[in-house]
Amino acid sequence: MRFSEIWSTALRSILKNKRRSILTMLGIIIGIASVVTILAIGDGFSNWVTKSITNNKAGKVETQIVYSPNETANSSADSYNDRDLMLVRQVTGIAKVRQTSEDSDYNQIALPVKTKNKNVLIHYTSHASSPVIAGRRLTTTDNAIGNQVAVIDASLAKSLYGGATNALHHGVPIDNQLYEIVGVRSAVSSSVNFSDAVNGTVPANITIPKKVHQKFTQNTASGDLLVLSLRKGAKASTVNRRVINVLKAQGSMRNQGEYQSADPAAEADTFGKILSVITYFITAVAGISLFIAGIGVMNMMYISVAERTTEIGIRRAMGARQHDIRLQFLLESATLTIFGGLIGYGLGVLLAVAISALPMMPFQASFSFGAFALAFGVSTAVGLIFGVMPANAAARKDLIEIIR
Amino acid sequence: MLIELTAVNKYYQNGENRFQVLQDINLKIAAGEFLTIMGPSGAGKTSLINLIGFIDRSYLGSYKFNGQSYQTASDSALAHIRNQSVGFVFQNFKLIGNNTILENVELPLLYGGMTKKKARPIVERALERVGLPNSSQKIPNELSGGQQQRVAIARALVHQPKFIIADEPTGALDSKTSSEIMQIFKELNQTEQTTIVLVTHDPQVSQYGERLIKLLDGAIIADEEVKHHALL
Ligand SMILES: Nc1ncnc2c1ncn2[C@@H]1O[C@H](COP(=O)(O)OP(=O)(O)O)[C@@H](O)[C@H]1O
Ligand SMILES: [Mg+2]
Repeated sequence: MRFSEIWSTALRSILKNKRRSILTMLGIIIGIASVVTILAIGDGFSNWVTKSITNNKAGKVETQIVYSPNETANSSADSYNDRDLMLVRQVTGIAKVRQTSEDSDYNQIALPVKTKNKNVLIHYTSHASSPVIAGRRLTTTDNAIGNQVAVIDASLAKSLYGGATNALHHGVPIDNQLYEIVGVRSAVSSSVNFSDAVNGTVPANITIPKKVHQKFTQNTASGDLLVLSLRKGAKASTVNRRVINVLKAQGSMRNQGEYQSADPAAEADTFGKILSVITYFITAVAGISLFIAGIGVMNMMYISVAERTTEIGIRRAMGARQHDIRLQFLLESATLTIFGGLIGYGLGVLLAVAISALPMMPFQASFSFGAFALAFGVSTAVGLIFGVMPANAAARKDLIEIIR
Repeated sequence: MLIELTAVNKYYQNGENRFQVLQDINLKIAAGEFLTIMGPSGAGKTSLINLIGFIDRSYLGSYKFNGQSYQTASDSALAHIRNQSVGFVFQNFKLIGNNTILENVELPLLYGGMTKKKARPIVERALERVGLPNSSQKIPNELSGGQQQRVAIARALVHQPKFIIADEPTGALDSKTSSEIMQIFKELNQTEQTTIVLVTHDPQVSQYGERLIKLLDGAIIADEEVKHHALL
């Protein structure tokens, strides 16, 4: 008999036994549906991660290292010195290292001026400040040794103390701390200063050393950041681990504090870990479900062979070879499981779409051809593997015994 | 000679006992013959025709079909010769219950390599031939016993085999239906020269054939021409 005719025979015999066929398929449906769901969600998740961590301007991946001093540490010391930066730069996978602060360099505060409160822009800097019209600028030394000093702008100096020179060596209260005014810069209400623009700093009403500000505002000063730009192909978690190992061994502040990686994808990382645990779990459940389903298929096929002994005899008498009978039953079980697999795939897609519609899910499920091929392949394999023995039993039946 | 058995013996092994079911059978059947085999139950009739119909090949002696022996042929070769040369009709019809009449009758054609599409008109003609036009979409249970046996005959002749073997085809039918069925066999033999080997233990049924063989305890005890009686 032609293959197509054997197959259509198999198909019809499945359709003639609808209820039993559906019950037998149930295990396959559940198994495949759960695999498809978890794959779609896993794929959606990894797409989302890839997108969110490659989203920086240069299109490169950036990660961060945070240094946080412990309480006994001398917080005025620099988190990283030049040697640290050099060591980090030598770590494989790193393209660029930039040191920056985790917190904002600008803030808006309410300053009591005469009887009213006035909103002023305050700038915390670890560098030298802009040129002044009276007194002196802030220097990097002010920041390094923690001088409690400030540069204010001319208009603020005027409203506080009546003039630029009058304001010098008076105090200005910021965050309940008095800062000594050591310089007065030009008024910032006027148009943006050219040199400020070049420096990349926006003119502020008050400028104070960053480290001094940090000392007062944070008991556990949140340490400085190292922003690492990764080379193409370098894995963020691996590079971070290497950098931390280097700093832990040789970093200048290794005894005063702790280095930690602040991977922007860290949130994604923990989510990913949970997801991969869930994936393993569901895959295991699905595997067991598919195995049990396969045994169900085998059982049903054996019953079917026993019930259809006469049919087998008739077919053999009409000229069916053992091979034709074997193929018929094998195709029957494979068709059954492929149906189950397709239904399971559909169900899995629906389930994944439903899950990604939940408000707590930050990403969309993604459907790949690979998942479809897997569902199809696995269900076919289950049908063939668990159908072989019943099909052989059918083919080996003794014609004389049946025809008697 | 279409069928030629020479010194055929057959034994069944029942545990320690060896039971001889066919004893020194010598039988020649020419193409176009209508042969009836009679004998009491257990005489070995079914065993004999299973052997002739290439269902059984565990025998001693020689069976030549068109001068060729298939005793050592493979299972596939045997299936092929069955498909090409033999049409089977059984006592209890042996139709596949949940298949349609069409699906039952087309089997020999499909196993011969034909497509369903090509087979269908041939099946319809065979059904007309046995007096069951327009019934190809029914299932066996919707038909009476006589009609089911007609379907079985259609299935046996649809692929134009070299001979038809009928094992007590009227055994489950009343006498009126029996004679209708036998009429079909007779007509088939007379108009198309189809070779028919028919087993029965009904003397009336044996009247339709031309030659009658009597079997007792596995041995041929008579081989004679049928004297046609007035009832035909
Ligand atoms: N496969 C078998 N194994 C053992 N004994 C069998 C087998 N087939 C038939 N027989 C025995 O052989 C004898 C002849 O059987 P059978 O050929 O069916 O006779 P008939 O068709 O004339 O009634 C019976 O006694 C039966 O019990
Ligand atoms: Mg018998």
